[in-house]
Amino acid sequence: MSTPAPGTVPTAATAPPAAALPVADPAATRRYAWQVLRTHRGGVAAAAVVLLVGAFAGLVPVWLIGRMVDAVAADAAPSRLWWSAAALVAALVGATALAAVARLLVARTFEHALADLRERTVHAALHVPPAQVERAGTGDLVARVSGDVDVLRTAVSQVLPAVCGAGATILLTVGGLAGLDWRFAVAVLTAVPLQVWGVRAFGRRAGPVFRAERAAAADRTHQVLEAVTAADTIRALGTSDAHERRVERASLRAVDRTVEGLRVQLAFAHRLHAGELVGLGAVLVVGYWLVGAGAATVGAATTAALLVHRLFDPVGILLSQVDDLQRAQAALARVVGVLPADGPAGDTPDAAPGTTDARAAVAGTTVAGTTVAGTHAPTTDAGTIDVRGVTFAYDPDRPVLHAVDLHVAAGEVVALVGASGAGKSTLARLVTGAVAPTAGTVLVDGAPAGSPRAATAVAAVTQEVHVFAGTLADDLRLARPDADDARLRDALTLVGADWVDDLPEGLRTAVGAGGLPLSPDRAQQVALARLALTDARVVVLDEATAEAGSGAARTLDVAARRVLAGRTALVVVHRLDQAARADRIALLDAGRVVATGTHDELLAGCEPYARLWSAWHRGRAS
Amino acid sequence: MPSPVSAPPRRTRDSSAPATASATPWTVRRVAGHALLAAGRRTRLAVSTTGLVLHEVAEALVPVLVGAVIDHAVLPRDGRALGLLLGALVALFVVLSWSWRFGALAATHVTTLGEHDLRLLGVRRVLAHRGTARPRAAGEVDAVLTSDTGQVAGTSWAVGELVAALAALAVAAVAMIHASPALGVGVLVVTPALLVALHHLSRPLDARTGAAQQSAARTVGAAADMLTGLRVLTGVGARPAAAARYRALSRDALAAALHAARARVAFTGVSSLLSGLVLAGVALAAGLVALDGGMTLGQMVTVVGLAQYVQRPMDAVGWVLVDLAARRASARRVAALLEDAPLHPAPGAAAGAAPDPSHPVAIEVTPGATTADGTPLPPLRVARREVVGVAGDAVRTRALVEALAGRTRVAPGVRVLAADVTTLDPRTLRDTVHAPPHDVALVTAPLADVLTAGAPGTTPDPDVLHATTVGEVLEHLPDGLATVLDGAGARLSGGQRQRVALARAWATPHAVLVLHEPTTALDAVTEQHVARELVALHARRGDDRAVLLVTSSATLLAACDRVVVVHAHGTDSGAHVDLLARVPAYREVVA
Repeated sequence: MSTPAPGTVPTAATAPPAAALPVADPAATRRYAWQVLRTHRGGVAAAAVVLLVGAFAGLVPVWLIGRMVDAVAADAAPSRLWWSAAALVAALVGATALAAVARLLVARTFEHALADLRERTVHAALHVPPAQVERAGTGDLVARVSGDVDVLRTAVSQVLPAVCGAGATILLTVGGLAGLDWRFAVAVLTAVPLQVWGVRAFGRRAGPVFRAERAAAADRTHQVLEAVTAADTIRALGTSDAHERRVERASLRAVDRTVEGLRVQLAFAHRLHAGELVGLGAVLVVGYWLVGAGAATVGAATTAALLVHRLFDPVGILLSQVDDLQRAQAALARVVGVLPADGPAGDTPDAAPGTTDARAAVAGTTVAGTTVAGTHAPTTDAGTIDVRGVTFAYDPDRPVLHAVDLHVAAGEVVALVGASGAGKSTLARLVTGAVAPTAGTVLVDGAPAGSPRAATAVAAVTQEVHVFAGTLADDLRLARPDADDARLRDALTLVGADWVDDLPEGLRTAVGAGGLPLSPDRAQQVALARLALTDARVVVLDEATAEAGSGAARTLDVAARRVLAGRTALVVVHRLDQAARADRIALLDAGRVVATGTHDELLAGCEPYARLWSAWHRGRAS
Repeated sequence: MPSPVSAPPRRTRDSSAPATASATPWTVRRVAGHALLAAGRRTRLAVSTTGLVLHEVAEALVPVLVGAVIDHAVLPRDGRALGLLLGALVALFVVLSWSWRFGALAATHVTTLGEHDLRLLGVRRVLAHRGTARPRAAGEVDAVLTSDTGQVAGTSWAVGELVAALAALAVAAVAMIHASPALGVGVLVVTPALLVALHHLSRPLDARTGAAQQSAARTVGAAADMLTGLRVLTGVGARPAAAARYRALSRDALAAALHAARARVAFTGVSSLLSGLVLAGVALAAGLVALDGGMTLGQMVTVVGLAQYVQRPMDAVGWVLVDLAARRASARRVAALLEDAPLHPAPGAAAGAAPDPSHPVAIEVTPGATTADGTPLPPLRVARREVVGVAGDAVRTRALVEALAGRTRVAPGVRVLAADVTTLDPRTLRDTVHAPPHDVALVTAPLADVLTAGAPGTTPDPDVLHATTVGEVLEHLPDGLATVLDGAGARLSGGQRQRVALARAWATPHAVLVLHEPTTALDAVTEQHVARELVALHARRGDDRAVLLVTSSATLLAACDRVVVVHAHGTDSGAHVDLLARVPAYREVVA
């Protein structure tokens, strides 16, 4: 969709994260996580079972050691020790193997879930309504699909496996203690109140702190990205220092938030250590008492003490991962915030919603838009643009367009002309559906602009060109994935891009960021070639050929005209010779259509147009 | 207003010198060393390691105390001894908890500030005046500066954990030797052998982890690239295709991640199994010795407890090695970024020249001058105060702009204020010549700051604002000069942004101003006004500045003092109308 878009540098100068896209609330995040678990319930269940069995097998060695202690205390034969040792080794091997299988299952499950999530996120980000992107800027979106997804990746590959293992061990250790003597279990459970207190206090404080941390990190990303994309301008202005200082400030703010997060975690750690002390102390006292009363063997007391000692590790692991989990939760909230409201179930990233349907729809259309075969039988409105009584205002008290009427017939090329700020680009954006009118209707191909039907019929090219990273062929195939090389070459020839053969690897040359840079006029030709590859019946060109110097502009003009052949077009122009060649011209002034007609008609009958033409014409060869 | 050229050239702080100014290249080791040790972090690293070591040693002593309780309290049923030993346990836990506190705090400071430092180095490298010969994708640079720097700096934790684990192993060994020398020595022999074996096993994991990270970074770069071009994608209905392409990359990353996960699980499994086997062996040996009467039951408990405990630091060594593999890969990427070859070579012996502020010729391109890769540059001479237009062959005129801006290297033959560009430091060149790129980049900042970015300490000049019609733009903005430019604050059209950029460029105090197609987004009426007013302003102010307008716009060229047209047969110079009449090629290139 066209926009009154800025110059060809993509706006890395975007809104600071606060203004931006929504962040999902904890309930929505939990719902999403739950749905993910449900989708992968097979893998999760298998992993849980294997994990539990493995943890159980891991307890056996400790029990066997207790038996060995008893054997020594009872002065038994050495062969008993040997048998116990052999059983210990067997249990160990079994436990390790099962734990490995469990970890693998967990890794598989969650890596798949992560891949799913990042694909859905990018799909959703790509389909964020243009108006929202205008408001929030792409920087925040980029932060979410990169930084926040990265946090989740760490969570999945490192945190989750550790947490799962730790959780299983804790459960079974307490069970093992109860198996020895119920009083040991009670003793170790004295630690629980302290631990619960710690967890609750942590939970309360951690959420906001980690959210602030993620937001500070996003701001820092924004500053870094801005410095990187505007590097040439920054160097030319000599403001490198100022930019470094900005990045430095944002980075230091992020550092402060991280340290704050750590302090919250440390408070938690102290409470957990206290819990461990109380638990161990209690078990030792109970052991002393039970052995004294003859109710338990020394071996049992030893096993109990060793088991409690064993608890330190998983609890410690949980501790060091809980804050990572909190961070991941905050990142997940930001990522889920991008997803559409109906959640993961409603989205099917592999179906290409508009394209295949649209192609099917236009399959039967003839160039002039006369009769059409196919599932969507368009009316005689096929390929037309109908603007009726449209008023539009970004701010309620500053209307940009007033009661604009414009009708473009199928196959007609209409040029929009006017001074800067007259509303030309806004009108173009209304036709592409990027924004909706405040009043009035805009119909494209018989359907309201912005509806799926209209969206598939309209294509737009603006001044903002972007050559996508990858091969030139890949770039062009974005417009038409099923095109073969011959088709791509045809499109390039159509727009006069014969320089393709001069490239080091022809169509396979890597272009865009990280590859061969293309000059602005070549980039525009690529944009026009993409346009040529689409089936769009209606085209909106917003100053698309204004970009180059004059010689190149001529080539681009010819290219544009060829691409527009047989299509309906609305072209926003500055160069009046382009306008003169259009079928009709619409002159805008201060948000109103002042006049429409052919070039000759307007020269003769419209004073403002005549003035514009003479200002343009002065000093140029006729 | 005093002539801007007589003002002393603005000296920027030397921090813009690229990191590669010194002879030492950025290697993995240097990057890691910088993150961990520079700027006083050495001390903090020592503190953090000490804290982590104390913590781990305290942990190791817990089984020793438990064994003592068995020996001295439970078996002889000595209640007083129990009380004393429990008191010792409390003291041990206090040490354990507080050493963790100061160790973790110090380690976090090292990590976060180390990461911060590396990031700034990276930004400095990207913004360095000597530029980059092959610039990387913005998304890739972002990934390196955001996540890789963090990974490298996090090595401090890994190092701390490693040293702590080794210290705890030492304590455990001593305690075991005390109980039974043979057993203790056995542990001392077996443990290092185990560590060496684990180290060798971690090497193949290195490659897989690196591949997985690279694959993940590619998805990040692709997502950033696609979202940056979101409007373009939307325009041609290419969003589903882009999503499909991303999906393919994501699946690749998934495969690589699973590949790495398998290796990681295998390594971790082997590591745990080996440490578990050591435990079994120790328990058996201790039991046999105790049966023989070589140690007490309590000592056996201590030894077995320690053998169980010892699994953890051994595991820690195992996963730290895995961890370090990933961090090594990150350090490699950071080092590669910092080592990116600059566009301009370091100033050699010929450097140190300075432009002569009083020289009458502002720009001189001698005949036969070319860029470093052979593109011929149009010969011309621009005197002080002149406003000269340059039109014609797009490739050569663009090369001229980029050469004067220092964004392309040139062969000798281009002189600015009598100094050959090849002898000038890029920063000096940019202090003399202001040649912004054609693509407008406006920063997220209040408009007042954006307009005066090139002339710090000044306020926006009303004359310039009027001449460029930015004043009119301001009237339409809710907060005027205070409006912050971003997607939300100001939806400026292409033409408005160009005018703001033009006003910004015009307000700079440099001796030479070079503009490349500055009015492509303006309509004819506005363009006429801008051209007329700016030239008049230039004359009125008695500006010593030379202005070079590289453009094909007839409106601008008509307003210049003279025009140089670059065509196939050479160059022609003269007034605009004169050239229109005289030179047929001129009519072709002018719009």
